[in-house]
Amino acid sequence: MSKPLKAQVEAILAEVQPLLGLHGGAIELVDITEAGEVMLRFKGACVGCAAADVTLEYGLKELIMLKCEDITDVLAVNDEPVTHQAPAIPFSHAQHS
Amino acid sequence: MLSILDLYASVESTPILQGFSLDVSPGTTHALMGPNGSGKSTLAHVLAGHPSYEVTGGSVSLQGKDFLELAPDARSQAGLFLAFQYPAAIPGVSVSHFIRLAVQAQQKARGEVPIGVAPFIRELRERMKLLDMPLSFAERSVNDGFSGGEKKRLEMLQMLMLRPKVVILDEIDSGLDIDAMKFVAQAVHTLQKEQPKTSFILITHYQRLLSHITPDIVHIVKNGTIVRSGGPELALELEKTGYETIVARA
Repeated sequence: MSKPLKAQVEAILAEVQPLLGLHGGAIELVDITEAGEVMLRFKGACVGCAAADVTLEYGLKELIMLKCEDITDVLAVNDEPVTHQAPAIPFSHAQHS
Repeated sequence: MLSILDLYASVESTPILQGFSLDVSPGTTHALMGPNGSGKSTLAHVLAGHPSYEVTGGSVSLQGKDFLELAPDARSQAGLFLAFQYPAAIPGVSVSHFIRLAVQAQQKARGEVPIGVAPFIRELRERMKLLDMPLSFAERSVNDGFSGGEKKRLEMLQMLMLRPKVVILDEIDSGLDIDAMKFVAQAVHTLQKEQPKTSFILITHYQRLLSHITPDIVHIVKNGTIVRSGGPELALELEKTGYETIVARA
């Protein structure tokens, strides 16, 4: 018999956790909705990191959805502001002003 | 839709196609049959833009546009799909990545917004279920260590995901058992139902594929040109009498 969905997702996250840890980040499972959406929260250095979106979109989504057939999407609940935004004034201009 | 007119092509200076003409209307299924070396696979390679084949005369147009001046990737973007007789392995590139990048590249070329990862995987999973492929298949490297049947299923999976306008199946039935042949037929029927205007060119040696996918027209190819065309019954006749007799009657 297959493991409950939550345990399956937790097991996948446990595998990628050390990789995120190398960058000072982490991830936790918040919920799995009735529609089959996995809700994750990025933690540590992942918060506000521009690479977190790539990790989610091109790493975790595929990893989880290709292992758990009932999962329809993988989303992050983080609403912290992005800290790696481009400066309002281009750096070279700022230096000369 | 696809119009091949008086096509001549050579490989290493040996002429193979010699005045090959075929008009493929939208939504029709054509079978190309003929002895080994008659030019069937050469036609497939020439249409896909294989660099080893030189077109020495004639023309090919797709929906009225010159097809031969396009690079192979542009031909695919224009709607051609060729299922290889011997699909190549790409170790290190997963099936899921490979197909997603191909689908997204085509969407970008058409000026569409590329599909997101989640909707792509949802569709991929549905298509894989149809072809009776386990989900783990999507994580394996493209054709790396695949059995003959798995390779052909992957060709069919690509076809369903790319939604082409013209499909060429080059001996898709070679090395396939009866069950796997049914999946090929199922994939073709699914695309025919979803996209009634898609046309198919089936290159085959055997009637058995055509008993699963009924062609509108059967053509017999010999010495690089079509020597006889007829309805599905021509394939049955061919199975009974062999090429020599049929071609002699042509």
